[in-house]
Parts: sequence; structure tokens; C-alpha cells
Amino acid sequence: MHATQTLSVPGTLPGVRLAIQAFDRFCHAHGLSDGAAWRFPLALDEILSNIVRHGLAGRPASIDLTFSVDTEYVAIEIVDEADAFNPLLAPPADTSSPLEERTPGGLGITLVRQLMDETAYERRDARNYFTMRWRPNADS
Amino acid sequence: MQIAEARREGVVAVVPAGRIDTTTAPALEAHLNGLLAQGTRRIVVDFSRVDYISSAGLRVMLIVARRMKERNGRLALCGFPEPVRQVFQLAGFLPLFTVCESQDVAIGQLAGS
Repeated sequence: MHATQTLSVPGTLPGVRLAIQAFDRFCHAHGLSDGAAWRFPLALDEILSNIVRHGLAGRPASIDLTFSVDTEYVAIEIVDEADAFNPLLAPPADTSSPLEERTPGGLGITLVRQLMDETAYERRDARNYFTMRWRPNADS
Repeated sequence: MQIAEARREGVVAVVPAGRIDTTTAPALEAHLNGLLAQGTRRIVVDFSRVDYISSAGLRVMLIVARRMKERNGRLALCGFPEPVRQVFQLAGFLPLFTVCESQDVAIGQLAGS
């Protein structure tokens, strides 16, 4: 099995919702596992809302997405025109302080890195390329 | 996301259904803040109908847990489906909360406190 789908969504919070709905349909159309059906929407929420809030910060732009599935992997590539930002270099989230001192910053990317088998970032032609891949057979 | 609510033995059980993410977390936060503003001091959040929770939802749970503590209230979470359990674990959130198997167990714990 090999399939890809590309789409563009507005770089807004409603655009994030459109992207997640489109992935839901992709998931359904290709019979992807339950593990993919929650991991990727969650990861899209984290990465895209970060681009919208911090990367674009109100500037009108679209975000390009490619969903793909083959016999081994499910993957999503996210391409945006915001300023260069490599989420993989963000400081790790605080996952051990007591309640009073705990801050939620950086949790999103920490979750994405741990829920995916591979994440990659590249800056090319004034665009950010972020890719995440998950192998359904590894665990679900 | 939809949010249902049940009251038993002086405890309010909040039952969100669907996805808790950037889009829906504000509604959950508003609901829980509304309960706190009414003076509710024993709250169970039942996750059994939740598909997943993203960091936006974790942030809400962190804020609500702090507010409950400041008010000497008690908060318990229950009914974690596997995606919710995994996210709480990866975020290091499990030690911050009382997590019970079921709503009955959670209500039992808070009602007796």
C-alpha cells in the first residue's frame, strides 16, 4: 500500500482544525490503525498551533501538508513560510517539578518527539520543513 | 468535544467527550473554572470518553490542579483510555494527580475526604 495526499490550509487556528479533519478522512480512507488515528491528529494540533501562534503570529500565510502511508510508515510533512524555527532544538519540557513549580512550556514538541518514531526538520528556500513518521507495527 | 456533568455525594464529575486539544481545551477550562467559581471543592474529571489530550489540555489540568490546591479542594482524574494515559506519562503528569480506575472509585475517594 502506498498513498499520499497533499493539501494547503490557512495558517490560522480554524486551519489547524481543517488539517486534522483532512487527516481523519485520510486515516479512514486507508484503514489506518487506531494508533495513527490519535497520534497524528494530536501531533498536528501541537505543531500547527505552534506555527500559527508563534511562527506566523497573525501574518496571513498558508501551511502545506503531505500525508503519506506505505507498508512501513505513516508520515506527515508540514511546510510553512514562517521565520526559521527548528522545534527539535527547543529546550526540553519540565517533566519532573512539583505541581507548584511545573510549567507547561515545550510539552507539545516533547510529546510529538516521543509519540513518533522519527522527526526531522530542515530549512530550505525560506521555508520550514518538519516531518514526522510513525511505524504502526512498532507499537500501537 | 462535549462536556457532561453529574453530581453525587458532594462531588461533581465532569465528563468531557471527544478530543481535548487547542480548539476544545478553552471550553474545558471555562467549565472547570465555572465550578471553582461556584465554590465546588471536590471535582472528578472522567476521561473515559476522551479520544486524546494534547498539551493544550494538559495545561488546563495543570492550572485547575493548582487552583484546587490553593482552595484546599480535591481533584481526581479517572477512566484513562490508553492515549490519555500515555500522554500523561510522557509529560510526567501522573505524579501530579490522583488517578483512579473508574468514576465510582474516584468519587468514593473524594466523598470520604
